[in-house]
This record gives sequence, structure tokens and C-alpha cells, in this order.
Amino acid sequence: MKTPRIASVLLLAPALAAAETLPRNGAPLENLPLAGFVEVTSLEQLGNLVVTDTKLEQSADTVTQRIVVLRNEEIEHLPSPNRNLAELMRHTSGQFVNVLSRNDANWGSYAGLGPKYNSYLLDGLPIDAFVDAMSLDSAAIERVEVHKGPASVLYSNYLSMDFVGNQTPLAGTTNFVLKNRIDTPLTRFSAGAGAWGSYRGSAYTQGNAGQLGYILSAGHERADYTPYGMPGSWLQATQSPHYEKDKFFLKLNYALDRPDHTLSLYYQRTAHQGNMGRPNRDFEHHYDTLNFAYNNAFATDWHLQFKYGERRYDRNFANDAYPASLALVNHEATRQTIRPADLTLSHRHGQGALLTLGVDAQWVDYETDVRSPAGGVSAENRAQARSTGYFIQEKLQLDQWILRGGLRRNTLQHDYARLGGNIPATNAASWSKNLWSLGTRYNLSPGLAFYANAGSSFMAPAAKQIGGTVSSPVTSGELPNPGLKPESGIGRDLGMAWQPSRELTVDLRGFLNTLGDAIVTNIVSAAPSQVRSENAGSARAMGFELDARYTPSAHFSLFANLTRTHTRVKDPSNTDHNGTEIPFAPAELANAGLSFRLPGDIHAAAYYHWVGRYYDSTSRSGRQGFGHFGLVNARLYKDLIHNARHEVRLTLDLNNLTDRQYRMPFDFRDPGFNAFVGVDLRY
Amino acid sequence: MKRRAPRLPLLLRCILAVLATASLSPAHAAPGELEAKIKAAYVFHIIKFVDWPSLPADALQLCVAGNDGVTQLLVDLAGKQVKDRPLKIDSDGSFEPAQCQVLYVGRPEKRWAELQARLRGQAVLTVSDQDGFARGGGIVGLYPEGGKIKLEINPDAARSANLRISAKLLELARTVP
Repeated sequence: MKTPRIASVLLLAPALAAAETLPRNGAPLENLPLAGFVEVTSLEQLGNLVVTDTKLEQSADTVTQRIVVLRNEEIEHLPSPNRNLAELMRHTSGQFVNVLSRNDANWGSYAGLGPKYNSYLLDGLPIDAFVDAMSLDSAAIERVEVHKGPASVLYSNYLSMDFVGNQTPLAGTTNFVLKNRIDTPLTRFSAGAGAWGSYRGSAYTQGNAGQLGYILSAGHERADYTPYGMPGSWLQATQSPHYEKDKFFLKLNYALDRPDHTLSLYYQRTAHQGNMGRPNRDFEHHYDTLNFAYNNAFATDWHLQFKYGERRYDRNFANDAYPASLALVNHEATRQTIRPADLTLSHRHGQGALLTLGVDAQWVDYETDVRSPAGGVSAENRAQARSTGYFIQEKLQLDQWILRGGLRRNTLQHDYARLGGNIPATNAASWSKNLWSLGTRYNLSPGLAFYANAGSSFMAPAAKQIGGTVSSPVTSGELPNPGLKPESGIGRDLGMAWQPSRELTVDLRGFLNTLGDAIVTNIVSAAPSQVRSENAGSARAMGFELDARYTPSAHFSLFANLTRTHTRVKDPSNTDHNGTEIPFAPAELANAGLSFRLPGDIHAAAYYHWVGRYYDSTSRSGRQGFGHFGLVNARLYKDLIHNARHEVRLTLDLNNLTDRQYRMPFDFRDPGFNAFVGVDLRY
Repeated sequence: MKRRAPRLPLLLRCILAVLATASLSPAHAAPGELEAKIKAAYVFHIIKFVDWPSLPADALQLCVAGNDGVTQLLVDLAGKQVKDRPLKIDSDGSFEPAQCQVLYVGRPEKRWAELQARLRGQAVLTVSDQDGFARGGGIVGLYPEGGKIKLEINPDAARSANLRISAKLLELARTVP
């Protein structure tokens, strides 16, 4: 039976209604007059397009993997108490977001796997899932695509050689897509103040000059931040912590001769300094992020993309000897430069088929130094890494079936000149791996589709695990293990996307992620304290994500999701680890939220976030349990002035309304309830 | 001792129950106005991704044939800037097709065959939501599928009209012979 035209067509409405907070006059998007409607929609939005699955924009119903899209207008209204991009995903299913503080990284997890198995991308080039989420500015982001399931054929590992080691897109990848299209000039000033002496101000402008589109933004934030460590821990404060953060970014987009032949450049600098609440625990960090892209749809069916990026991390900490002494012990400096590049060629052929092939590479320099109070500097670590990947993927459309398959050949080389202050006996390591990915989707009816995916990935050992950090048999540290193999993983998922009515969408996704040759760190000697990393185990994470969104009217919407996860580590050689849960992966996660309009034309949104039990280690005897708490965040806003030329909006954020000062790993603790009032002027 | 499964908070269970109930409720009547608005917005955005051999300096002329929800809406785009010039909408039916840069053919329009003959060799982008429009010699067709409005493009018709369709547009459309 042919589906009634009108009934099927308007299933697009929820996608638009999801963005109903966008229109600057507070009216729902779909109720705007056509002239305004075309300004706030794009071809991408009308076509419900996603880019992460194939590197080219494709209709979401021709993509085998589930991709959750958070658009700019929704991002602007999501609570972000720690100003961390990871918090934007907190209310999507499967995501455990664990931002330790406003000055620290996110130690979350996704789909039952720890933070190293869910990579982040900035416009398709990898960034650090820990640090960059803290430094990048959400004002530069057009949308976030949360790609669920394995993505390691088209995207490489990120060779972060800092304390986190590598990051790989086995469980999923999250792509922060930069604003590329400037339709109308806009200038915006924002200012606000809140708890703990927090002040924030920013200026933003966008416009066009001929074929050049530009965005410029600068912002400053400062706070007498409250103590955020457990009492008596290494984070114990003896004075009020303080920080200042300055962010500046520039985005240029130049159309050479056609709208699909473009050069674009994005540069952001973030300066972050302050102290952690003790006289000699100050820090000063500088982050530079650059993305360059060349896009050329040079023939009817051919599209070439070249991307190059630089990520510079300059992090400096002072250390004391708390609790024995508050005196300065030393300064630690970490300088890291990572340069990813990607060349991708896409070819459309047949009826909706898409061939994608290309090569990517990364080059890494990693240095750490220690400076004594007297000024003497000693080199601690000097390492370099480079990787090369060749990939090919084919996507076919056969009536209602979508079929996808891909292969990647990855080569990774490490060179160690100095580790832990020593010249290591093992000064190089290299690995080559072949990876694969398969996926299918069946669109049974206009509102119902099923999909399944599987793919492999790997995680290289960190430098210190290969080269060790001990200088002699009697010193403490990590012993070298040059024969250490990468962890290998396979991700699988099976899901259903259902839209039973215009107002309701329901998604169900089951996942099974397995890791082989899992690297575990075993204690070899107590005195001296020595450990060695070995391929001794395997791990498995399985579970499901259930999502529902209900939008009965333009001024009322409701969503809820539930994730249940079961994880196990297998390490028969170590009874303390064998049978334990994967660290940082909560057994349950649940979210609910609603947005509605209050009397007085006040718009309100409230979010509830529940975290089940999770642990910080695979050691049964040494681990600590966390979680089992719920959080309520709310946001209210009202347009004080609105006319054709100006808009002034007042916003009130109420975070952690029930004042849950929950514990987190590494002795961190959430500081509890806080509020922030902001004013936003746009013209 | 048997371990009790952790229970979700009451609020969350209530919201899940509401959502479950909602899944059983009938769909609201679909407003045809939104469908028309989406199609009209498509027309506007598509123009950005088409290159003409030459364009008039003063305005880009969008001619509208027929009388349906989309054609009535397109009039609202008069004066909007696209390709660095304002849109001029001609909807009174007296236009000379060869003078248009874009021709939208509404659903009740019966004169498509006649218009098509007059457009032969002219650089005019033709768009319609009529069934089989692109297969029948039109350049861009709008059709419903999977709950969305989608595009189909006839590259041969575009070539005959001496128009260059951006690959970006082709990437999100299906091509028809």
C-alpha cells in the first residue's frame, strides 16, 4: 500500500521541532514565515544530513550506523556547568560524562568501554577526547554528530601520548562539526555571573565579505572556584582555588569559484591559568588548535577533501609535597604537538552508491621536563610517533537495503629518546594492523528501520609501557616490555529506529564490544615499587540503549533514555582482576528531560541524569565504587527585547539542584548546587 | 543472597510510561502547510548550488506556474538575496519561460509538456513536486520517502539546459535517467 503522502512527509517535523528553541523570536521553527524559515534552515537540515559515516553529507536514513545530531540551537540551551564540550552529550544514551572539575578533563565512558575507546573529531580530524573538550569553544560548533558503533575504518586512532595513551573509535566517535555556512551577519555580546565568583563575557561576530565568510570570537572567564577535592586528599585546598580562561577563535571560509570548491581555516587559542587551592599548586596551560580544509567537488560524481590540523598542548603544573609540606617541589611542563592530515576521495556511482578511499597520517612530538625550585631543568620524556592509514569503503543502496563495507591498513611507529628521565634500552616500536568494518540497514517502512554493524580496531601501548621508566633494577617505576602487543577490539551493534507518529521517535540499540590482548599493569615488586604492563586479558561490554523523544507541541517536548551495560574483564593470570567490571563504565545510565513554556513567556528546560554503580580500577582489592546518584539541572530564559533588529535574552542556569556533592575517581568531588545568570544581546 | 536489581527513580519511570503511552496514540493530523514550506525552502536552497552560464545583473527570476500551497508560499521569497542578487518572483502566469532562471511547476499545472517544449535549450532550472517530474525531463523533482522530502535530479536534463549542478547537491539527491 502506498503511504499517504502528507502523513509520511511531515515526519520531518520532529527534527525541526527538536530545534524549536532556535528561533530568535521564541516561535517554533515550523511556524516561521517562509522568509525566516529559509534563513534558519539549511539544505543539510532539510535533508536531515549527517557527514560522519562517509565523510560526505548523506541522508541519515541511508547510513547504517546510528548518529545522534545535536544542532547549534540545541547546544546553546544545554546545561554545561563545567564549560566542557563533553557535557553536551551527557543526556544522550550510553554516554557517561565524568568531568572532574572546571580545570580537569572528562573521564567518562561510552557503550561500556572506557574513555580511550570513544574518540573525538573536530570537523573530521581527530582531537583529544580528554583535554580538547575542555578547551574548545562551543560557539564555533554548528552541530555535534554522535556516531554510535565502530568507526575505525574511516578514522584513525588519535596518537595522544600524554597520560591517556592512544584513543580509538571502537565504541563510537563524536564529530564536532564547525560552522561553515554564514547566511546572515550576526553580532552577539554575552555576559554573566554566578556562584563561586564566576564571571564570563564574550563577543562574537559573523559575516560575509564577497566569497569570504568569517567568524571571530573572544571570551574571558574567571572564578574563585570552590574546593573540588575530597577532604584530606591530594586535592585538599588551603585557600580558595582560582582560575582564568581566555578563548579566541577565528573561522574563515572562502568559496573559490563555486560553493562546493572551498578553502577553510579554523584557529583557536585557549589560555587557562590559576591555582588549585594551595600556594604552590598553580597551573598555566596554552592550547592551540588549527584545522585547515580544502573541499573540491571537481566533477559531477567526484569529491576531493584534504584536511590538515595542528594541536599544540603546553601544560605547566607546580607541585608541592602536601600533606608533609606546602613548599614548592618542582614545576612539570608538558609540550605536545600532534599534526593529523587526511586526504579523501569520494566517488558516487550507480543508484546512490558511494565509494570512499584515502590516506591519513599523524605526526607527534611529546616532551616533558621537570624544573626544580632552584631553576635546574631536567628532561623527563622525549618521544615521537607517526602513523599512516590507507582506507577504502563502499556503500551500496539496493531498494530498501543499505550495505556498507570497508578496510583499513594502519601502520604506527614510536621512537623513544628518553622515558622517565632515562634513555630506554628499547628506543622504538612499530605495529601494522588490518582493520575491517561492515554494516547494513533495512528501511522497512517510512517510519521503521533496522540496522547492524561490526568493525575492528586496536589500541597501541603507551610509550612508558614499552620503554619503561626505571633507570636501574633498584629504582621504582614501570619496567619495560618491548614485546607488548596492541589491544585489539571488535565492536558490534544491532538496532531499530522507529517513528510511530509525527510526535514520537523511539530508538533501540544493542551493543557488544570485545577486547583481546587487553593490557593490564601488574605489580612486580613492592620494594622498590615496580610494575610491568602485559597482554594478559580480555574484556567484554554488552548492553542496550533505549531512547524516546515525544514532541506533542511546539512548546512542550519530552525525552528519556536508558542504558544498561554489563561488563567483564577476564585475566586468569591475576585473580584480583579476573571477573571484575571495566573501569568507568556504569551499569546503568538514564536521562529524562522536558522543555515547556511557563506563564510570562518564560521558556524552561529541565534535565535529570542518573548514574549507576561504576569502579575506578580492575583490581578487586584496590578499586573504589562510585555512582548511584541523580542530578537535576534546569535552564530558564526569557526574551526581554525582541524586534526585527535586536534581541536581548536573560538566561538562568540552575545546576545540580538537589546539591548532590557526589564523589568521583582520583579524589574529586562535585561542588554541588550552583547558579549562573547571563544576558545575551544579538543584532 | 539474591541481588536486587537497581531501581530507576520514580520520575524517570513516570516519563518512560508517558512515552510508552504516547507510542500508542494516533498521529496528529499532518499540517500541509509545513510540507509546502519545506518544499519552498528546498527551492530556495537548491538555487545556491546551481551555476548558470550567465545571470542578469539586477535580479534572479523565479517563475511560478500553477496554484498550490508551494506556489503560493514562494511569493514570500521576493527580494531575498541569493547568488548575490535579489529574487524576483513572477507568479501571474504571463511570464516568458525562457526569461526565467528558475521555473517552479506546481502540482495542478497541466501545461508542463507545453512549457517543456518552449524551454528546450534554455538555461532554466525546472523544479516540481509532480510525480515523475525529473524522469519526464524536468531537472529537479521533490518526492516523499521515508518520512522526508527528498530530491531527484536528472543530470541529462541539466546538461541540456547548460546548467552545472553542484556535486554537493548531487550527493544528497538520487539521480534519474
